Parts: sequence; C-alpha cells; structure tokens
Amino acid sequence: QPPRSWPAMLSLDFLDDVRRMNRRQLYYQVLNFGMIVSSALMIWKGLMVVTGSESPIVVVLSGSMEPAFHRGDLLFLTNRIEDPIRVGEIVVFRIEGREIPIVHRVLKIHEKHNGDIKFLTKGDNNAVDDRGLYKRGQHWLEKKDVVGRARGFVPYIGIVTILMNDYPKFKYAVLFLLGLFVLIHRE
Amino acid sequence: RKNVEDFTGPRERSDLGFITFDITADILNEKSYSKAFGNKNSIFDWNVKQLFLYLSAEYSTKNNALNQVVLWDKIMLRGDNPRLFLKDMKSKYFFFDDGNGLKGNRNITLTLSWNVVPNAGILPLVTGSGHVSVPFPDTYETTKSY
Repeated sequence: QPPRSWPAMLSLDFLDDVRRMNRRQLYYQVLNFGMIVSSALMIWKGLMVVTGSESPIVVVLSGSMEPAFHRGDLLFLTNRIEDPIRVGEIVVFRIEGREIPIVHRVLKIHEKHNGDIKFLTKGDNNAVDDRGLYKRGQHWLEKKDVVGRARGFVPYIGIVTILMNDYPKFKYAVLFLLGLFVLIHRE
Repeated sequence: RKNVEDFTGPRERSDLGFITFDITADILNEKSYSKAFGNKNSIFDWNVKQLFLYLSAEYSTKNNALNQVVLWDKIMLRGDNPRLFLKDMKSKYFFFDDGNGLKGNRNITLTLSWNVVPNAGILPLVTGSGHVSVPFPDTYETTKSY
C-alpha cells in the first residue's frame, strides 16, 4: 500500500482505514507498541544496574551550576559504592522529604575511619553553601542522600522534559503523536 | 607551587584555620592532563567549555580519617589566560574542622585541581602535579578585640 500522506489522514480516508484493519492486525500493532515500551524500560533498568544509580540520567532544573550547566542539560550519573565522595565532584542529591534532586558540587568532606562520610555542597553559581537548603537541623549530607555523581553531560536535550513538565498540553500532544505514529506505521 | 602563612583560632567548639597563599600555575602545559588526552598544546581544545579550578586542603585528624576542604575556587573559561599568578589570596570559604584537629596538625596538604567541563561528554576531575604541605601551629591565636 502507498504510504499515507497528511492530507489523506486528515480526510475521512484515515478513519476508514482504521475500521478496515482487521482484529489481528490491531493486536499485532498493539503488541509491537508494547514491545517498544518494554525494551525502553529494560534499557532504563539496565542502566540503573550498571551505574548503581536509581536515576542514571537527570535533567538540570536550575541555573545554580552555571556557567557549566544550564536548565535543560542532561547529566549522566554513576553511583558506585566503590567510588569515594571527594571534593570537587558534582553530586546529585535529594534532601530528605523532598522529591526534587539538586545538582551541586562537593565543597567539604569529613570521612571517619569506618568509612562514614559527611559532606557539604554548594552550587557554582550560588554565593553561599547549601546548608540553607538542607532540612532544618541538618548540617551535612550523607551517602544515603546521594542519587549519583555526574560523569558526563549533553547540553540542551533535557529541555523537552522541562517543557513537558511545565506545559502538560505539550506532553499530551507529544504522547498522542507518538501513539498515533506507532499505530499507523505498518512497515 | 604555593606559599602559605597561617594561624588558627578556635570558634565555638571547632578549629578554624586561616591560610593565605600564592598560586602559580600553568594549566596550559600541565603534563599529566595532556598525557591522558593526547593533546600537547592546549588544554582548551574544541570540546572544553571551561575549567572549574579549586584549591583544596586535605588532612587527617583523630576524629576523621580523611578531611577535605575547598579553600578557594575559580571558573576559567575558554579564552581566559591559562597561567595563574595569584598572590596573597585569602581562602574564600571558612576552613572549619569537624572538631579540633587543626591545632598542632603538621600535615595539611594543599592541592590545586580542576574539573574539565566539555561542551558535551565526560566530566573528568584532574589533580595538578604540584602540591604543598603546610603545618598548623600548636597554639591558637588570641582573638582580637575591637
């Protein structure tokens, strides 16, 4: 069959087409779609295992690490226990009780003989360290607060995630178009 | 290549150290970096956006096996002069110890390191090849009156 062009889809031909798809073809398309989603999830889980981080890829949400990172940059993290936390490293951490991860640099560490470590962070672009951001009464971060260490990055790409978050209509449009594309595509 | 003079003062219950330092560094020709990346002439190649430089003090105390404190940092953008000649610098951040481990501590090592921030790609941390060991005195400095 010749590929569908946009004007054809906009006309009622498109609806006739869907009606004409028999049940088997429909199930096939749905399974295809399911496979794509599962593969994506498997890759994500695989990344989590390899990097040791619960969130191996994060998007930079604020300007507190400029000019190195800007809103929308994508960071690749590892969180291997064998890698010790040292000053100068860029860590992504969560403050207890808060969902949003913060990307800042380690300013100070104090590590005990048994390996327990407490450390302080600061955003490159901030005038003061992060103590004001921590929980009330909390003066240091610990290993358990760390999501991962930034090992590499790609600029700009994460902007799509931010757009989808800030403009839900955009998110629905993207999902709708993706779903449409997968269902219609028959080659 | 750093020179320091220092004195300590107790602050509440933790030692607070004061260090003044000079930094002479030639990052352009830093041998350890260029060996790893195979580029002899410039640390600022096409994929390097900036360097985040920091001077850190590393030492051990009775309480803690390892302590690291960043005393000073600077962002060096592509295009900035890669040679540093800084004199009489004061530390940007308070050099508090977690306890009283600075008094009489003979071995505080100051090292200059930097984080290479590429336009895209890996974020390596590099340590400069020079470092200096500094002792803190055995007594506290008496607090000044105003």
